[in-house]
Amino acid sequence: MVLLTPCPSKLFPVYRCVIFLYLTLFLPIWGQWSSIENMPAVDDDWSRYESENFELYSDQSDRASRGILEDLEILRALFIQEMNVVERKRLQVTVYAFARSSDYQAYTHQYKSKRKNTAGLYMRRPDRAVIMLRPMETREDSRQVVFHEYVHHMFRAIDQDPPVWFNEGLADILGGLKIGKNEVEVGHPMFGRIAALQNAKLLPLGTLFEVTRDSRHYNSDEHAGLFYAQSFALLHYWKYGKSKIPAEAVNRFVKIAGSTEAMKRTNIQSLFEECFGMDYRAMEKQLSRYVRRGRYTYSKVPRPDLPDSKTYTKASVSETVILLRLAELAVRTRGDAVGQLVLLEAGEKADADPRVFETLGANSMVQGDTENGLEYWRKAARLGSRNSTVLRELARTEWEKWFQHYVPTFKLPEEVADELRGLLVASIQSEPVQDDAYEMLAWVEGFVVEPLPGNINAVQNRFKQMKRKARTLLAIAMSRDRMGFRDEGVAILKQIGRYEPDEWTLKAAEITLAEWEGKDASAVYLGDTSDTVRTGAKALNKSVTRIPSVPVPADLGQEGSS
Amino acid sequence: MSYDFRFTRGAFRRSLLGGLLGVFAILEAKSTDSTVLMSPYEVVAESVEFKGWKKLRSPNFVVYTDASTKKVRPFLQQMEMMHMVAQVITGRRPLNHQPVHVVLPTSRSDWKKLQSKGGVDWKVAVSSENEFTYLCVVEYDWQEQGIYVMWASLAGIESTLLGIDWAFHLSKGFSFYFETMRPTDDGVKVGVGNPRINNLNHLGWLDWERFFAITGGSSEYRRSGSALQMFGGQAAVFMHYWLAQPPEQGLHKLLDWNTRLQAGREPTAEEFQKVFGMTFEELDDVMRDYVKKNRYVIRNYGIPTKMTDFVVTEIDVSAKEMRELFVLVQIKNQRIDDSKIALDSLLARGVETPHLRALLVAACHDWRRMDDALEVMQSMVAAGDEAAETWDGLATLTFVLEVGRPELETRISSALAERITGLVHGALARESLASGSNPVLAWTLALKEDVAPSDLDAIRAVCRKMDGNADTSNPLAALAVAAWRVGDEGLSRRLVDLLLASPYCDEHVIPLLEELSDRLG
Repeated sequence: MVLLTPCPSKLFPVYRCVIFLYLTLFLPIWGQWSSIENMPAVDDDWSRYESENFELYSDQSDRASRGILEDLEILRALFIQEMNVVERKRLQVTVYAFARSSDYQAYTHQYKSKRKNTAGLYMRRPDRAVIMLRPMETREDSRQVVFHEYVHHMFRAIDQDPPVWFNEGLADILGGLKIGKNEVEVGHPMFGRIAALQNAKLLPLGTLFEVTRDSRHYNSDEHAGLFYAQSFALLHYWKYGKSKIPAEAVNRFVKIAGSTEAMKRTNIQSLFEECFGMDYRAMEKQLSRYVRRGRYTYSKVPRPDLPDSKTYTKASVSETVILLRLAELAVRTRGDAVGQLVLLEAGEKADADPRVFETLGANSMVQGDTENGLEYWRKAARLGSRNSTVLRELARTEWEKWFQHYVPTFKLPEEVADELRGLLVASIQSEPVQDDAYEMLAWVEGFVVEPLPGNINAVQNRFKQMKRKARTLLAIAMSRDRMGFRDEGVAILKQIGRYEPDEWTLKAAEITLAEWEGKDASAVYLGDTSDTVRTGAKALNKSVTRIPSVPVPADLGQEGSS
Repeated sequence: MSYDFRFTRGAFRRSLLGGLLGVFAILEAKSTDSTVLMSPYEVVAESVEFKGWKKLRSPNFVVYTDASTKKVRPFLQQMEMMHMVAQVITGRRPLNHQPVHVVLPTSRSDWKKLQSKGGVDWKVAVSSENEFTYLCVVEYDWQEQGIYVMWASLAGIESTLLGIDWAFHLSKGFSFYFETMRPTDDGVKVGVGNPRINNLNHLGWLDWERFFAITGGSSEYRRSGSALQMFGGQAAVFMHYWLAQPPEQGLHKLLDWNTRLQAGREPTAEEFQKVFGMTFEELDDVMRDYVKKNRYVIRNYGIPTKMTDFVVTEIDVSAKEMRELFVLVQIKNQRIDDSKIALDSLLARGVETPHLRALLVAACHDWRRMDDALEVMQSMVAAGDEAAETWDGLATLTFVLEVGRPELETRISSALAERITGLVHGALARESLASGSNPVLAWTLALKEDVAPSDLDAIRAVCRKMDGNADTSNPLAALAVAAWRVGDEGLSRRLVDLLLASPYCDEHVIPLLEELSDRLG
C-alpha cells in the first residue's frame, strides 16, 4: 500500500502500472475488488442528505436516513450544551448509511479486524471524519457505537484532551442516549458494557484516575472492559445514582478532574477528598454497592431545540457521484487500490471535484507520506476546496517554513503573504469558529510590509473567544508597528504577560520590545508578575504522597502460621 | 550582615533507623563531668527580669515574645497557613506533634545580651531544633530586617512534622522555597524567586557533583564566603524548579532522590540520572536556563477563613520559664565550656517548666549525654508526659542503650523485650507512624528470645504500615531475620534479595543482610 502514493502530477503512468501490478499480484490475497465494476453498492439508490453539521449518503429509507442525522444533531447539541463549549477545531463529518449489511461489510472488511461485526464505525482522517452505519433493527442499535466514538470526536473538536477515564465514561453515558419525541433519556448503559462489572473487582479509584492511553487497563482486552465500564459507572453514580453526594461536589470535581490541563496543577486525591468529603476507599465502597445492585436510573432532558428533520436537504445521487463517494470511503477505510484508481481518474478532469484530492492527500498522510499528501491538497485548493481543515493545514505547512525562527525585523515576501492570506481567509470563511487560522493570519499581517486592516480586524473580532491568545497578541502588536503605530504596539506587548504566554512567545515578545526600545533583551521582562497559580488549601486527612522506600511485597509469608 | 539559619538536625532518630551506629559513636565520646555549680548563663539569666514577655498560642505554634501582641498575631496566623500549605505541597499529613515553639525577641530585648554562635563561623540569624522538640529562635533584628528567614527555619521544622527527613541540600532548598512566603488577602503565596538565586548570576555555580556532596559539616557551608552563597542559590533554584513541576515529575522525584541519599547512596551522576532522567550537564543547562528566565511559578494559596479563625491564647510568662528557656537555647547553640557547665547544672537542679524538659533532652543529645537524656525522658514519662515524641524517644533510646546494634546473634531477654514494647506501644498509641518506635518494635520482636508466629505478624503489620510513609528496610530486615529464626528460609531469602537489590535499602542494615544471605546459602 505504501507504493500507492507517488506524486500525482508527475508519476501518474507509473502509478497506474503499480496499481496494475498490485491488482494482479496481490489483490487475491487481500480480498480487494478486482475492478471498478465490482465495487459494491454502486447504484442509483443513493441520496445525499445534509443537516446543519453533517452530510449523509444513504441508500436506506428516507425516514431512517433523516433519523440518523437527527440523532447525531441531537447528540452534538447535547454535548455542547452539557459541556458548555464551542468547537475550535471543527472537522467535517460524512455519514454513510448502508441498506444492506453485505455492502457495509464490504467496505469495513479488513478495517480493524477485531471489529468484524460492528454496528457502525467511526474514522477520523486528517481532512474529514467518517461514520459508517449498517442497517439495524432499531435506531438505538446503530447509535451506540457511533455515539460513543462521536463523543471522542467532539472532545477533539473542542480542543480538549480530558483524562481517559472521563473521556470514556462520558462517551459511554452519551453512547446510551435514548431519544424520544419530546425528551432525551440520558444514563442508560450501553449494551453489554456493564454485565461484567457486577462480579468484577473494581479498580482502585487512584488507578482509574491515572489510566492513560498507554496503560494496560486501557489497552489489554483483559482489562479494558472493566476500565470502560467502571468509568461509566462512576460518572453514572455521581450524576444519576441515588446517593447523598451533592451535585455541586460532583460538578466541582469533574470541572477540574475532567481537564488534563487543570489536573497538571492539582493533586487529584486532595481535590477528591475536598470535594466529596470522603477518601477513595469510602467512594469505592459506595460504587461497589452501586454496581452490584446493577440498577442504572436515567434522567430526562428536553430535546434540544433543533430544526426539524424534514428541513434537511435531500438530493438524488448519480451512479457517477456515488462511485466517487464510495471510492473515497474505500480509500479511507483501507487505502483501497481500486478506490484510489477511481479517484485519480476522476481527478484528471479539468473540473474535478476537489474532494478527490482531499481524500488522496489524507490517505497519503495516514500512510506517513506527508509530502505527497500536501501535494494532493494543494491540488484540491487550486480546484477550489472549501475544506477548512485542508486549507488551514496547507497554510500551516507554508507558515512554519517562514516562522521557525523569530526575528522581529523579518519581512514576509508579498507573494508568500498573498498565498497564505488566500488559504487562511478561505479556511476562515468555511469555518469561522476556529482559532488556528486566525492566529496564522495575524502573523502574516504582523510581518508583511503593508498589513491589510481588514484581516487585522477579522483577527481582533475573534480575539476575545480565542483560547490561546498570547501569540496572536504578539502578532497584533507587530502589525501595529508595521502600520506606523509603535506606541500602540508597545502597549499591546506589555499586556502579554496577562495571557499566559508560553516560553517561546514570551521570549519573542521580550526580544521585540528590547529591539523597539533599544535595550538588551535580558533587561526586558514581560511575564506576568502577579500570582500565576491559585490553589485552595486545606489540612489533609491522610497523606496522599508516598515516601519512596523498599516496596513491601504483598506476600509476606503465611500470616499467623510461620 | 549575611543572614542564614542553622538547623540542629540531630542524629537522634535517624541514627536509630540507620543501624544505630551514630548513637554508638556518640556514646563512646560521652562526657563524664558532673559540675553542679550555677552556670554563667544562669547567672546572666538571673540578672535580667525578662519583663513584658508573653506566650501566644495557636493550634500548632507557641510564640514567646516581648513584642506587642498586635505585631505578632498576624505571624501566628501565617504560621498556621504555612503549616497547611506545606501539607498541600508535599501531600503529607503531619504526624501528631507537640506545638512548635518560636522565640521572637525584640531588638531591645534582654535576650539579645547573648548571641548564638552555633557550629558555623558566620552569624546565625535563626536557630532551630527540629528533632526531639520543635524550636525556632529568631536572633536577628526581625522588626528591622523582616521575618523571612524565620519562614525558612519553620519550613525545616514542618518537614519533620510531615515525616520527611530531607538530605542536606534538599532541606536547605525546601526552606528557601518557603523563605519568600508572603501573606495575601486570603492566604499566602509561595514560590516567589529567592534573592539567594541572584547570587548565581555574579558568583557563578558550584559543580553539581560538589553541590550534592555538601553537608552541614562541609567547609563550603561552615565558612562564610562565595561558596556558601553559591550553595544557597543552587539549593533554592534546584528545589524551586522541581516543585514547580507537576508532582509526579517534580516532588516524587525529589522524594525518590532523597530516599536514596538518606539510605546511603552516593549522589553520583549515574544515581541522579536514574531518578531525574538527566545528566549533571543537562541539569546544569536546565538550571541556568531557569535562572536566566527569572520566571518562577508563584503559587497563591487561598486559605478558607474558617481554617484561620482560631483562638489565639495569650499568657504571661514567668521570669523563671524565660530564664530556663534562655539557658537551654544557649546550651544548644553555643559549643563552649559555659554550655557544658550550664547543662550539668540544669540536670542536677532539674527544669521546672514541664514543656521545656524536651529541650533539655535535646540539649543532652547535642552534648552526647545519652544516659542523661534517657533519665530525663524516663522522668517525663513517669510524670505523665503525653507527648508522642517523648514516648518515641524513650523507646528508641532504651533500645539503643540496652540492646545495641541489631545483629543476627543478638537476643533480647523477655523482660527487656516487654519493657521496650510497652514503651513502643505507648508511643504508637499517640502516633502510629512514630519514626523510631516502628523499627524498634520490629527489631525487638525479631531478636527476642523466643519468636512466635504472632511476632512475625506484628512485624508484617509494621512493614505494611511504614510502606509509603517511611523507611521499610529496617522492618523488612527484621522480618527476614525473624523468618530465618523460625525456619521460614524461603521468606527470609526473598526479603534479603529484595532488600539487597533495592536502592532504598538503608546502608546500615546491608552488612547484617549480607551475613544472613551467606547463612541462607
